[in-house]
Amino acid sequence: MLEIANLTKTYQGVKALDNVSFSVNKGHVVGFLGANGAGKTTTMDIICGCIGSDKGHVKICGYDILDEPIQAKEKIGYLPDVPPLYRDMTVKESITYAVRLNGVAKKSDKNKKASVTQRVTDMISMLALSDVSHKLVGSLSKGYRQRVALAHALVHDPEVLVLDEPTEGLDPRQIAQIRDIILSLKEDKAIILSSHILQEVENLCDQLVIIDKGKIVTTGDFEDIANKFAGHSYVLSVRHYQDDLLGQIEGLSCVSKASKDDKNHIQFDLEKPEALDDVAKFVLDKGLGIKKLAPASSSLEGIFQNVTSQKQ
Amino acid sequence: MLASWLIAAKDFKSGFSTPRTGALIFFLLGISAIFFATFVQSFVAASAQNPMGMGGGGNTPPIQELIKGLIYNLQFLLVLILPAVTMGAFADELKTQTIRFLQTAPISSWSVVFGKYLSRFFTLLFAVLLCSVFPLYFVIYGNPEPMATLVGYLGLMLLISYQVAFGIWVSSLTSQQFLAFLFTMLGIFTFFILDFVAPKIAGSGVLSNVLQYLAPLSHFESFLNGVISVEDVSYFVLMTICFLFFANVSYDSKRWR
Repeated sequence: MLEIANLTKTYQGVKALDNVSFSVNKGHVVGFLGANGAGKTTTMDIICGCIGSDKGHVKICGYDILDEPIQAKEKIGYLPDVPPLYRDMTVKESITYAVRLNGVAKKSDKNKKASVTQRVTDMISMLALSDVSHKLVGSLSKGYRQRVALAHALVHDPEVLVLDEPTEGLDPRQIAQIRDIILSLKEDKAIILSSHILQEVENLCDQLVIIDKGKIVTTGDFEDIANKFAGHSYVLSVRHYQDDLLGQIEGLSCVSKASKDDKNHIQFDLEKPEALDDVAKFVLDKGLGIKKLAPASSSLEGIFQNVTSQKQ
Repeated sequence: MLASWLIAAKDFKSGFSTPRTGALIFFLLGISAIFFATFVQSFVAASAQNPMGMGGGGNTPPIQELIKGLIYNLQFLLVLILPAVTMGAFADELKTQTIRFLQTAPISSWSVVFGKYLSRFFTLLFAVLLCSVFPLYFVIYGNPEPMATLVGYLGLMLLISYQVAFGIWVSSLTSQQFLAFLFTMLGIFTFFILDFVAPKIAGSGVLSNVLQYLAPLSHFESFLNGVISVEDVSYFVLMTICFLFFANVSYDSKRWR
C-alpha cells in the first residue's frame, strides 16, 4: 500500500535522507524510530507530498505522490507533529471543512449535504469530540486538538495513515484513547507512526523501521530485529562479589563490554554466544558462586541503543 | 473549482472573525466619508456661486465628476487597505504551519491560490460596495450618468483584481505578514508611479513605452471616463493571471526548498 524507494533529500549540502526504502502493507502498524534529526519527519513530509525528494519515489496504493498527487493524497491521511489546525474555527466547522476539502461527498452522491453531515457526525463520535464540537479549536486542550487533527487525517477514510508523534504531550489517559483508536483502524489500513515513547511503539506496532542520520538501519518485525540487534547481552549476579570483578570480566577476551549497576549486577556483551561457558567457568573457578546468569532483556530501548550505537 | 470556493468561503469568514478586517473597512468608510463630505461642500459652494444649477456652466462640476473623484480617491485609499487584506493569505498559513493541511489535501495548487485570491477579492468587493453608499446619494439627489458610474466601478474592480493577485503573490513569498504588507504596498505604489518615472528611467524608447503600458492608472482612467476598451480590460486580466501564476509557482515551489 505504501512503497518508498531510494528516497534522498539534501538540504544545503547535508543529506537529510540517504537512499531510504521500505514498505508498509495493509493490516500492519509500522513503528518508525529514530533519534531527533534522524529524518523521520522529513520522510513523512515527503510521503504525504508536503516536500519533494531529490531522488526516489513514493507510491501510495500504486499512485506516485509526485506524478499523481491528487489520486495519491486521496489515499493518505497525515497527522503531522505540529497539527495544522485553524484555531478560529469550531471543532465541527473544522471537521466539516476537512470533509468537504477532501471530497468526501462525491459528485455522484444524490444528497451531498447529508453525506457531509453524516461523515462529520461519524468523526465526532469516533473521536469522542461531542462535548467540544461547538468550541473553538484554539480553546481546546492539547489532547482534544490532537483528536481533531486525527479526525482531519481520517475524514476521507484513507487506506494509508501517517502519524508523526501522535501521542506527544498527552497524558496517560489520552495516550490510551489514541492508542485504542489506532488499534481499531489497523485491520484495513496501512499505518506508519513515529514516536519517542518506545513503550507506545512496542504496544502498537508489529514492525519496525529504524532510521539514523538519514539512513535506514534496519527494518522487520520485532523478533527479527531483537535477534539481530539485541546482542549477546547477559546479566551476572554472584554470591560473593569482589570489587575488581567488573574489571576482570571486562578483561576476558570474549567480552566486548561490561557494566555494573548499584546492586553489583554485571551486564556484559559477548562476541559469540558460545563464550558464555567461558564466563561461567571463570566465575566458578574464582569460587564466587553464580546467583544469576541470564540473557539481558531485549527491550526496544536496548535494541534502539544498540542499533544507533553500532552505526556510530 | 469547488475546492477554490471552499477555501475562499473559509478565508472570507475567517477574515471577519478578528477585528482586523472590520477595522480596515471602518477606516476605508471613514476616509471615504470625509472625501464625500468635502466634495459635497465644494459642490454646494460652487452651486451657490452659479445658480444655473448642477451640471451647469461656470465652476460647478457635473455630478459625474464628483463620482469620478470618489472612485479615483477610493483606489488610492485601497493602496493602504489592500496590502493589509492580502498580507496574511499565505504568510499566516506558513507561519502557523496550517499550510500542511492544504498541501496534503487532494487538491491542486491552483485551487489553493485561486481560493486565496477569491476570498481577498470578495472582501474588498464587500468594502467597495459599502463605500458605494456615497455615490448612491448622488444618484438619488442628482442626475449622474448611471452607465458611466457602473463602468467606473468595473474599472475599480479590475484594478483591485490585479492588485489582489499581486498581494497574494507577495504573501506566498514570506511567512512574515509585515514584510508581505510592506512589499505589497511598495509594489502597488511603484506600479502607480511607473507612468511618471518611465520617461525619466528609459527616455522615449521602447522600454519607456513598455513601462508606461504596465502602469495601471492610464488603463484605469478610461474606465473613469465611462469607456470600456478591450486593451484596458485585457491589461487587467493579463496582469491578474500573471501574478496568480507567480503565486502558484511560489506556493508549489515550497515543496522543493
